[in-house]
Amino acid sequence: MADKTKEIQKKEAAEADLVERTRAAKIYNPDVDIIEGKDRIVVIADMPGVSENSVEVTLDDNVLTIYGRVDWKLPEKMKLTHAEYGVGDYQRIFTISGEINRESIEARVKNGVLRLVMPKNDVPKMRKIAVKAG
Amino acid sequence: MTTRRIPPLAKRSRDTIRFLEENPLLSLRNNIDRLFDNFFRGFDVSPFAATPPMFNPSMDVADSGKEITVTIELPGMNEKDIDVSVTQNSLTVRGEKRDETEEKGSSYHRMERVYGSFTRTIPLPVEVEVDGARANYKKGVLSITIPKTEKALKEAKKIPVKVSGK
Repeated sequence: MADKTKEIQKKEAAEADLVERTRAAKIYNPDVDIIEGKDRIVVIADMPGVSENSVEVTLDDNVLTIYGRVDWKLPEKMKLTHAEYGVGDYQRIFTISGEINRESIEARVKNGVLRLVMPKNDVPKMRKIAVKAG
Repeated sequence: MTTRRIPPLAKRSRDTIRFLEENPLLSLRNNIDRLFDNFFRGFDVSPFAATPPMFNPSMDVADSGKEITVTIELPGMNEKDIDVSVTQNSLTVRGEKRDETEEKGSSYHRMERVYGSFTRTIPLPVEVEVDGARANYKKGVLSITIPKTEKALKEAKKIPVKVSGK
């Protein structure tokens, strides 16, 4: 039973988007939360093992790519005796809509969690016009 | 009509099988029971068991001969919320991952990350030096290193395999 739960916890990316990679590491899809507020959309991705220097967030046209490099090697002389998770890089690609203000996207990494704040464009607020009798 | 006790299913003796053959209704009932068991097994849940913990982090265990290192993926936790305890032959890690998003009142498009508390205890293969254990939480990965005791090191002697002549 535990095995199945594990699979849900860390998913290996199906196809690395048909782009060949130069790094011999597996790619996992990080688990994300996407939360939409009134004026922004927040993406939170669990990427244990990455630091602020090893995460790349790129926005190309409408395609937002999150990529995290994990540099972790088993220390010398260590032998793995029990493994439940694999170590590898993270990647996930999203398409974003036009309402995002591209200039002010903010990314932060803390304790292996990437937090991406994407403010929405200032849309003219809807105004209600009072209807008067007369 | 006399009722007979249903023999336990675990031990299917020849008598049981004969008994089931003679009682088609009972045999049907057993088959239906099994069908339900298998059905729920397919979903990885049991309808009557306690709900399994949501947050069950994965751990890797490595051995260097002198030390044991356990690494656990715990993204987005506070080190204060992690509790590690070691006994001579087991390691327990407890913790709670809190939802720290302040986006209240907004809508979730996706919610794949898990929150909540967890406890994992693993037996250690050898006796360890409890006082020498160190834990370090970095980049969302907790690693715990525990040295083995002198006694355990002595016991784990390698036995050379010799080739004997014909």
